[in-house]
Amino acid sequence: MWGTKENYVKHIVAKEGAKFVCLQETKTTSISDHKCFSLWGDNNIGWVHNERDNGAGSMLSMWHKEKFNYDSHVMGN
Amino acid sequence: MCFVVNVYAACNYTDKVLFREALTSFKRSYQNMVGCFCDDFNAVRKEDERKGLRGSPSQKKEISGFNCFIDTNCLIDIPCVGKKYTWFKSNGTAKSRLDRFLIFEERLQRWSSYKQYVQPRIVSDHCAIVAKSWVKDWGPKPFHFIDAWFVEPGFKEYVKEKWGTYNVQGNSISNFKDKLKLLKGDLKDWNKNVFGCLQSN
Repeated sequence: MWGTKENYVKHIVAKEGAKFVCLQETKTTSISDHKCFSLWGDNNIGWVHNERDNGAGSMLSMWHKEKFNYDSHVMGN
Repeated sequence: MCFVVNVYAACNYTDKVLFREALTSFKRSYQNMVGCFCDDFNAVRKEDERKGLRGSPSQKKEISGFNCFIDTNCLIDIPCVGKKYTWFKSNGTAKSRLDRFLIFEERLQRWSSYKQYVQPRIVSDHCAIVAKSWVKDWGPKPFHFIDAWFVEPGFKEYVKEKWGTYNVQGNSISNFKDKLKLLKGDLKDWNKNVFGCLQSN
């Protein structure tokens, strides 16, 4: 399923020229630079992912570094 | 400093309340915080934002709790465009608006052109939502000739005087067109000097 969703995220990011993307329930524990760069078609991307319950309930935040400078983050529970 | 809060609220009522309290105290701990809470609050603001689920007694409490959270934190629920609901039960028997952007920012004007666009439901039971500025380019502003100008003393003299000063080159018809264009600029100035900016009065 992630494969299809991945394509959809790619599509939305490209169509809207997104600068910040919030995903809920990524259901994966394997987010990497490579994966995020491929979603944006760009490697100027920052991201934070929390892996919970083997991926269920996990969330991914990604941003374009051209618009957002990372300072810090906190995670809930 | 700008905060973007990726929100994924619990379904359970008690957990939702605790979660919103946590968000409130988080926001309170930063002065002049600017940013947004976005996505899945698992809550609605009005009864018609939920369809198909049998109205439970807690529904009203949940709605008022969510609205109270929005008011307490002075959040702006930016207008929604497109589909009304963001979540659909797979068998189609229920739908709700569970996802939204809530903005916190003192300079509200900055967000006045922003809208949230609910995308078609494609890969999930939730629809993606996109917040973006909606500024349409309407092209050049039309020139308004105001009737009242004719009765204002000095108007005709002003036009006559200005018309005589325009030095344009070309044939008669293009001269006339160019002079009208120059007159338009002068009339705008004249209107500003004589009547002022009416909108600000």
